[in-house]
Amino acid sequence: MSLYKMENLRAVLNGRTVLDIESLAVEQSVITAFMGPNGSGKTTLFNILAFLRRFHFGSLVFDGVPLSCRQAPPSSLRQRAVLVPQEPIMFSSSVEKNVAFGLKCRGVPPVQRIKKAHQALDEVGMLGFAKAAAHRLSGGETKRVALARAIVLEPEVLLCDEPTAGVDARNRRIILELIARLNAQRGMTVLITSHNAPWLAGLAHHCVHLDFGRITDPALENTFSAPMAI
Amino acid sequence: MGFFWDSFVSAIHLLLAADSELIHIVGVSLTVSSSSTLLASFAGIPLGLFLGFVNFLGKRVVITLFQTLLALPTVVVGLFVYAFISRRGIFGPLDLLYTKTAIVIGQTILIIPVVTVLTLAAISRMDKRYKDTALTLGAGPLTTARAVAWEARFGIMAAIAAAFGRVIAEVGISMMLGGNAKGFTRTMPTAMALEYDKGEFVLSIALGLILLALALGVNGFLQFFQGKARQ
Repeated sequence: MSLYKMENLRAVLNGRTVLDIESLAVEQSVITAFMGPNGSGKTTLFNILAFLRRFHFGSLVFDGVPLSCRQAPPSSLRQRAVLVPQEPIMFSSSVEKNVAFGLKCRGVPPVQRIKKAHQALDEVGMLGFAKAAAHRLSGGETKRVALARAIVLEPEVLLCDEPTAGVDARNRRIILELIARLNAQRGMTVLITSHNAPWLAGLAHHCVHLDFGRITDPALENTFSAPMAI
Repeated sequence: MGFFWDSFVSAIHLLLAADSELIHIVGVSLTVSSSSTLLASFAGIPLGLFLGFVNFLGKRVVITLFQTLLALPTVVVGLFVYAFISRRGIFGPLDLLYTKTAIVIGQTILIIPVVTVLTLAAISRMDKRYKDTALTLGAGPLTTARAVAWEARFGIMAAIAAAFGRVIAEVGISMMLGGNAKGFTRTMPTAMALEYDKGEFVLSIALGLILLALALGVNGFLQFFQGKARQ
């Protein structure tokens, strides 16, 4: 079943079309990879799919709900799709408070949200940093905490923009294993981008190639029968 | 040099002697300035956040208007408020003229633009990712604004300090709306102006030194707090 459906979706930035997708459907409970060079429109697309940016033309349907390009997306949808940006930023508080932030927004009681935050941190191997100042973490640690901050919310859709960019091999393995596990065990729909990563083929069920904001030659669109082991 | 030294010694003597008139003047200054800064913060911080987060038609005009009001002369505010609270004004029956409340009202009007514009500047300087992070984690507009404001807290504190600095040293409003009544509405700057008129330069400069020391104390406190928070 398609979770996202896009038809003639276009986004314009400073008078320039940065995204122009003729037709695309993203399946539910699978990992879809978006590949393309820098500036190919991946981040713009993810911001639209995470309901953080408006698109300017065309149509976008999320889980049967059509979204208008004339209005800002309803904030309720943001509770269903969470974006982990390419360069995540931490609020100036402890790691556990950062991870618990989204739960606080959802009205989860304090004791429960700290417990859940610790569970999520444990999943990314960062439990030992729970009390540490979040803005002092290294790049790889920040990415893992950002991932914990997203998965603690158990979203239907997890959008990871270049999750392994600038990350060492060990942290990359941890992140990719977690993404694969979230999809396999919880059926979470995962959308992931990379500008050039052979490891995506070992992780994703579907692969979409973008260039200059467009889906390139459909022949290049790969569909993997099953993700390979990382 | 000797002139300044005499003034400094006079200031120390006045403080050590806990001169009741001086203590009262300092107390009035601190009370009205703190009250107006607090009230202006309650109005100016949300206004700055609103201008920083919400897009609406004519927003640039509103921002330009607030920026223009930064240059508002104190006597203009004094005259404006006077028109409302004098006997013939619509708030005349409230008998506010020549009271500390009148000074607080005038000073609050004076520094609301200061707090608003500097809060807006602090918010505008913030990394856009804070807002996006809060939004994608499911925060509503108010929670997002609060989260970004917390990250911009040092800039907002600087806005409050600048506003306090503007009112603790202003003369026009205090003189026009407070009347410089001894024992009631005399503030440090109005007392300094009076002493200068009387030719009491030493006392005037002594009061100026105390005023500077107070400003230094407030800013030192803010710096200490910022340093602690950054650790």
